[in-house]
Amino acid sequence: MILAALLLSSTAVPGQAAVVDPFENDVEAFEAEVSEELDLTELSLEALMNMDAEVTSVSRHAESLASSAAAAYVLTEEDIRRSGATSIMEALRMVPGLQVARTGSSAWAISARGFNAEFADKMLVLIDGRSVYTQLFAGTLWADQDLMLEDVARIEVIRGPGAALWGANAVNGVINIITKPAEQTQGNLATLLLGQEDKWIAGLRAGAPLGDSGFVRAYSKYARRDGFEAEGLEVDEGWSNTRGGFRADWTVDDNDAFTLQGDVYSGVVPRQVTVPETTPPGLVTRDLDSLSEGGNLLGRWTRSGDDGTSLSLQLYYDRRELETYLLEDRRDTVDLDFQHRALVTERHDLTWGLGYRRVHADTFGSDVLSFAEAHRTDDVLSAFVQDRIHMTETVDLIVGTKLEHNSFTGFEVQPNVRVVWQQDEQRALWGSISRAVRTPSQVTNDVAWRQALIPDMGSGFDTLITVLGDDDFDSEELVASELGYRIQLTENLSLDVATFFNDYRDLQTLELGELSFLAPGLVEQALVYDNEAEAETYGVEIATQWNVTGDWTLHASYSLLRLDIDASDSTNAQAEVPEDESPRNQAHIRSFYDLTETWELDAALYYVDHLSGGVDSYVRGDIRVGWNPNDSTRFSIGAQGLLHDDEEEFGTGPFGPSTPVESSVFVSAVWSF
Amino acid sequence: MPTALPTPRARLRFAPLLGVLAIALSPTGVPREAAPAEVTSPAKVAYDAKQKEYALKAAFLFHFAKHTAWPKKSLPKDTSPIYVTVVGRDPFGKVLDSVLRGKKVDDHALIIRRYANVAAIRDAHLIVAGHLSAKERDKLVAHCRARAIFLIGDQPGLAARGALASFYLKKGKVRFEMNRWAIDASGLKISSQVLKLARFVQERR
Repeated sequence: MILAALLLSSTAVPGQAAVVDPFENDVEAFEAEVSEELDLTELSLEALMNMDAEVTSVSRHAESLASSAAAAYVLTEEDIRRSGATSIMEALRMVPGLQVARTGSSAWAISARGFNAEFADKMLVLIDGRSVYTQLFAGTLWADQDLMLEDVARIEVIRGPGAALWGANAVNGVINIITKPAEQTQGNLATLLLGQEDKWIAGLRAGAPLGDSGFVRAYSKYARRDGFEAEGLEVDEGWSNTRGGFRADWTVDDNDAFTLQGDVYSGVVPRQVTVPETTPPGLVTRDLDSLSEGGNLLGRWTRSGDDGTSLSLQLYYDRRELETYLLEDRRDTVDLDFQHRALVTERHDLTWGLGYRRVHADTFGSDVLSFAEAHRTDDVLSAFVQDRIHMTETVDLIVGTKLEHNSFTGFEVQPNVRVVWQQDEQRALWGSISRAVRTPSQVTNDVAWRQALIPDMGSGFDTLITVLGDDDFDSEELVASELGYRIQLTENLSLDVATFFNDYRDLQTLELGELSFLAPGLVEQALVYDNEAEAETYGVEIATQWNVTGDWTLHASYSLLRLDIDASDSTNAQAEVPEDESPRNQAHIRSFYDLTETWELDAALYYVDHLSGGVDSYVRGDIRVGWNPNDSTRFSIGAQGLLHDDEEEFGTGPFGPSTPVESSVFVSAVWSF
Repeated sequence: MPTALPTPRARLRFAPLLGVLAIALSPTGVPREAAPAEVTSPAKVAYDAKQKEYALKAAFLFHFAKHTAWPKKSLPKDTSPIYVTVVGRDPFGKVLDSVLRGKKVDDHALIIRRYANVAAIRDAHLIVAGHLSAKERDKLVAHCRARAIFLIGDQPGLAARGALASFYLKKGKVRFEMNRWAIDASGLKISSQVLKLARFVQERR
């Protein structure tokens, strides 16, 4: 819920400040409580032992009621640990309304509110304020984001536009992965996981104080995962990756905090891709061994004033190299972000910011794929302003906009208006209207890609399908209306309902282009990127948490999604296919149960409705038993993907059909020393 | 037939391992001269969220002082102050002062002191182990062993290492564990009001 607060509130230090605001209010209230109303020392020890020290999910929920006016959900450290998820991607299955489909052993399609794909282009993904969404193909290469799970403090997911704060491509949602400050990772930690599919994953972390007022940590992680099989044949040989990095946090005086962090990673992902050949046999399956390497360095300075104002300056450099059979891409990104919470009065809470990003990319194609511009430098300049206006005691109005200039489409304006009515401590009603855009990528503008060869169907010609980028391809546009209600029904039961109506224009389509004769018996049909579709989508997302007893917590969710794509202006009969690539109904229930002080039993069931391409609806189960004999050792044994072994979770992606997902048993151990 | 292509050369393959080695091999626990009176956590974010936890812990400290009888040698007069001492980097910050300000146990005023390292400690009755290097932490346990000092770790596990007690969190609530052997060795009389609420741990040796 915290991120949601950010959506409206203001202290949008990327990735971090999300948290400052709601807690700040809480702390102020708490301090008042401490000094004036409640002398904690007068409480009995028993009473003290019953007070919440941490902001737990439910109470966080309750607190966020005050400020949140978006459909947000937070996965905590505990959620991630107890789910038995072996990667961030798998952990995201727990987020209500998010569709997580594993399309291969190393690939995931993850999106909220429809238009899911292996490279879902309408979800913005950030790690500690650094965007991992790539302008190459518009989407996130999830295999590269295999962080050390023990370092993740929480994952905040917003469904619905977050563009007024985060900018372009935060159309259907934002996934914000936040790692722990170095202070919380002191000492040493070693982890080892052995499994059927996750062959072995080992991690090592060391944390130490840094001078008088700082902390630092470094980590390394290696993961070797098995490939999946299709029809008894190994589709790929599995993949492996190594990553390592550090994070240092320190303060100079009470008001200035600095963070410096960085990672390097290297992964090899073997994969098979079907590639058209104009000479017999026509279609060839190639091993697409891809190497993905990169590194990043991020620095952030935050200064907080005593009057509630604050400013932050963040600079990061990010380098990614991708070598695949289809293409080679090297890109350097420099991103500078400044934010100032300029005014905090009884009536206004005003924040503004400026951003600049330069991406330099060298992109080389292959015999099936080429780019019109091998070297590109793109700049994005942005500015935003947001004011949270306290209209009455219980009603807040949040207005704000982001103004961006990018080298693909020029100026983009992405405003939002939100209202939250906090009826009382337990109930809040919120609504919003916002606009967001998905900007073009190098693929939609520059590519020439021989994607398929359709054999002679009686016309006397084989047809080579070539996908062409077009400089005239424009941004996709969304105007979203949302309405939500949160209620704390009892002390132990909370309910969160969000509804939305999304109106999309200028959606991406592939239009029929020129037909040309290449050789006797062979024609080439061009398909050109264009914006000829519109869509209306709507849905409901319901999430609930019930703390049944002190030892037992249940989470459940249901989401309904309807897509209606209108591609009547399109020349392409396939343009309405995405309608059926997102599940109409999804539901999940998970249970965290403390058997004893040291034993945990956790289980989850997920239901996902059927998709196009013959993907049936399915139920998937996860189970885990945890044993924490003491504070420095944890053991887990579990199984992931039960009841749905060897079945696909998604249809066909850009590189062919997705592979069936295999269930997996694992054991793991974590030692701190 | 799949056409295998040579695997691209991975240049950064082993680079990710360097960081941990660097830290693991570095000398930890840099000695600090003076403890800062107030420490703002590097991540303000975490600090804010932690305030409530530490306010509660401060109130626990008050109760520990109230329910503990120190020997006459340690508290010679009825008005001798009880020194509540934080050693190492202070996780409490201002909260400790605001909760304990002006508080007395009988006629003993509670006075807060902060020290960066064990060598600097003067008379202390109740010591909270803050952030310390492993070496300094062990020194602190050794310093307090068999003395009339109520040593409590801010983080779990210290009781099992020889302290009287350590805080831990259970489902977001503050709890404490105690080490019976260390209590006996200290010669402190701790009321059953406290003992009955503790989780007792075995000392690891």
